[in-house]
Amino acid sequence: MTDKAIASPAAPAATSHSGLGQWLRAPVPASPFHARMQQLWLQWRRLHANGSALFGLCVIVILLLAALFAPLLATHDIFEQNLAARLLAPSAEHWLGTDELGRDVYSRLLFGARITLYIALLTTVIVAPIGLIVGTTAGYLGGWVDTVLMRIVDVFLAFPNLILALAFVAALGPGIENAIIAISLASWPPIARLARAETLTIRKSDYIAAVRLQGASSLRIIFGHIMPMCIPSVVVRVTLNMAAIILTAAGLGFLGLGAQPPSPEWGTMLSSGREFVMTSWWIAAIPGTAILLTSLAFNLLGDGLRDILDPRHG
Amino acid sequence: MKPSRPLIEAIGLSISFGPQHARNRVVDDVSFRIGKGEAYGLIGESGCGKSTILRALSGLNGEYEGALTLNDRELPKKRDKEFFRRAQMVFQDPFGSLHPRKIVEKVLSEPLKIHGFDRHSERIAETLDAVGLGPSFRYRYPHELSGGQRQRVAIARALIIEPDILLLDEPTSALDVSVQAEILNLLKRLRIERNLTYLMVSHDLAVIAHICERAGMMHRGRIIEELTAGQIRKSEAREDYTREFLQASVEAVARDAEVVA
Amino acid sequence: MDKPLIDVKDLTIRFETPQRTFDAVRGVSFTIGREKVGIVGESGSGKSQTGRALLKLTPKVATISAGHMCFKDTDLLAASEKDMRKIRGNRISMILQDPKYSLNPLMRIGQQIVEAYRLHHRSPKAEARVKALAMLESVQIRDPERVFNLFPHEVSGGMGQRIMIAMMLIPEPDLIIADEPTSALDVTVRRQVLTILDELVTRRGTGLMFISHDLNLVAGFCDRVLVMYAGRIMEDLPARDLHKAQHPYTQALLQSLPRLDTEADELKVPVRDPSWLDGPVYRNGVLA
Repeated sequence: MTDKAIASPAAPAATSHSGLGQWLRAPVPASPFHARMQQLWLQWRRLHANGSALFGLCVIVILLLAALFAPLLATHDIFEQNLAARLLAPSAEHWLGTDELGRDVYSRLLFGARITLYIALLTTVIVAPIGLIVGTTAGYLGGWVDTVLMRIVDVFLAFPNLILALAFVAALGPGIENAIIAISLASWPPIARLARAETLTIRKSDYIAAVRLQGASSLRIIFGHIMPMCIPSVVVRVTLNMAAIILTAAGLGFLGLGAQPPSPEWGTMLSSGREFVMTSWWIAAIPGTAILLTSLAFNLLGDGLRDILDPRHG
Repeated sequence: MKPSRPLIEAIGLSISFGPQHARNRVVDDVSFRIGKGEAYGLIGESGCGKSTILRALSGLNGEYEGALTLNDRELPKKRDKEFFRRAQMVFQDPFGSLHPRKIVEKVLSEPLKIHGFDRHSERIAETLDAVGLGPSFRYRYPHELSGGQRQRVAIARALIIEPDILLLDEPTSALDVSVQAEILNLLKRLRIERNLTYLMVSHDLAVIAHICERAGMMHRGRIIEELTAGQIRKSEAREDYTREFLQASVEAVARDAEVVA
Repeated sequence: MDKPLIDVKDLTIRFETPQRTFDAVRGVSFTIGREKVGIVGESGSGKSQTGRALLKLTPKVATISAGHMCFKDTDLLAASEKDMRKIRGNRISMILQDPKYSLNPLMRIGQQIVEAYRLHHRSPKAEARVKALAMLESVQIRDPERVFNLFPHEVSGGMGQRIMIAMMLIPEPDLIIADEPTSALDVTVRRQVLTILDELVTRRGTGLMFISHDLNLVAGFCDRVLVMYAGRIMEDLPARDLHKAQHPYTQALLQSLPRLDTEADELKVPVRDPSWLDGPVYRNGVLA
């Protein structure tokens, strides 16, 4: 076997579609960026082949677009009350009907997507790094650091998610920001657990031994070598978690402890529609369906990502 | 060996594992000396303690009794950066010793950064060239490489910070014979070119005899005797166990030899 | 010699994935009688897939095609999954590389051997136990009563492999396929295991297909050697004639090994000639 290969023929500055395809398929990557893009492309192709994950991704993309362009897409003012037009069934004027104060459900649903995504994304941004840092540090350093950190995690895990969030909101007062803090506090421990378990297997591997023997510091090893290996499973976990986060947020809203009326949060909408569920089903059913679809989409995407990213499944 | 002072010396090295009440002594009072530029082998069956010695010397395991010295100075149990710059290790399994999510360039630039070397790009290109990999391998991920290519990257990673000692933990036992031949040739050439000192662990006598001048035969945590490559080739052993081991290894080769000759 | 145990003609194993299609084994023909046949090759040469194909244990993405593939009078190509279950373990058994993964970790060793026996012979438990103990003794386990009650993690690698051999031999199969049975073992233990295997196989007249990457080992142990490269059998010759090997690949493999009897500054590295992929192959030292 001769390992000397031919000089790299790939042209990085390809613009046309076929050129881009060729660039992505080039046998010899010409730069670190090129190599990274080729990997991403392969992963995209695998995602593409996975029907349900693609469906989940599509729903989430639609949701993102809806949230982004809500002011353009909405047909009515979401706070404007019109008691003459209350409890109207879906029609050409009000696509998804009106609620008990005569507000347009379709428009409120669009703006509600903003709140839901805001909560889901912000919690994730808070939770993932904390869980990752706590888990990898505990797993890599071991000893008393591990014991202390993991007992803290155990304390948090001892309470059911919603109960813990409820307790925090009760202490901090209702509102979206407080709901986000409460949900974050309740959902970082499982991620820390996961990251620690991953780290325990990774730290024994030869490639970690090799960087240790290069004289790398613990900090460098944790951040530069262990975390990149944990990130895929954490991404999967967080995506799957989003469904739970959305449900918890909706639950808090439903109980009156999350977003406050007249905010069009889906859980709050569901809660106020509860009284009219026998006569005007759409008020409760439509935000309910939105919650269901969104959490389903995140679940499907998470499952798909596991197949694509998790090295053990690769 | 000349009576000059050794580069590496182990004095009364003992290593135990397990809880206090059930200590298992894996390495038992082992001493050896390796001169500068010498290649020393540790031979033995699995579980004889040869890899444990290597891990203790490398600094991966600081829990040992006895002393390990470098240039007559005792090494601290927790090794300093200077030691890591001078002694590098190549692992047995080329599939496990490279980070799965780092391209070759990243793997090679890491030690350069840690030890504050300059001219990263040139050094990476030179080292890749020295281990017989062209520039086309620079931006590859490990899973795109064959076992032999990965082992070359691992050797390049060890060599890039210009150490003078290379610790080799069965570097070819996971490879096919033809690839093993390539890697052994490479190790032999690099040692001469860069005046390296080797400590090599293997269960394969022929590999040890090919690379090393001297070797310690290990059995149950002890070095039961030391042999030169010549003595190994001529099966000159004092201990019964060594003789049995030599015979078990030679048998197939000798039969083959009389055939090929 | 009478009719061979295994007769394979033009065996091809094709792997099809959405990305690509490739043939792991390409038109391989061979026979195995009541003898020890070694199949040697480097990783990716198709040697293990060939062994697995005989038991139809190839992965789902692979398709097997052949002119014919017979075990005694049974046409393996036409055999149903139900027929194969009767053959596997009973008439053809397989020894794998690492006994750690082939033994059930939760079951006592003796129990597993008894089970293997009773799966194919309807006999009372007491009789199976006697058989199992005798079998353990025949693979030179000194204290079979004690080992009988051990769990797999309590025995060493060498003993584990001897237990595997006992388990595979107890239904008295006609053919044993051993895939790298000794590569996880130390040299001294390896010799012992091979001696036992040799003795049992020779005494019972069982056929043995010995798959290995170790040319030396196979040369010393087997009667006949098949050298595989890139999915084809490059050379088929008696083990004692290995020095007369004609194919440049076989010669190169032999020369690439470091040796104890001669000192070499540099080992010969086989230069792979693309023409080998479809070039001539040799049988018993002559072009086939």
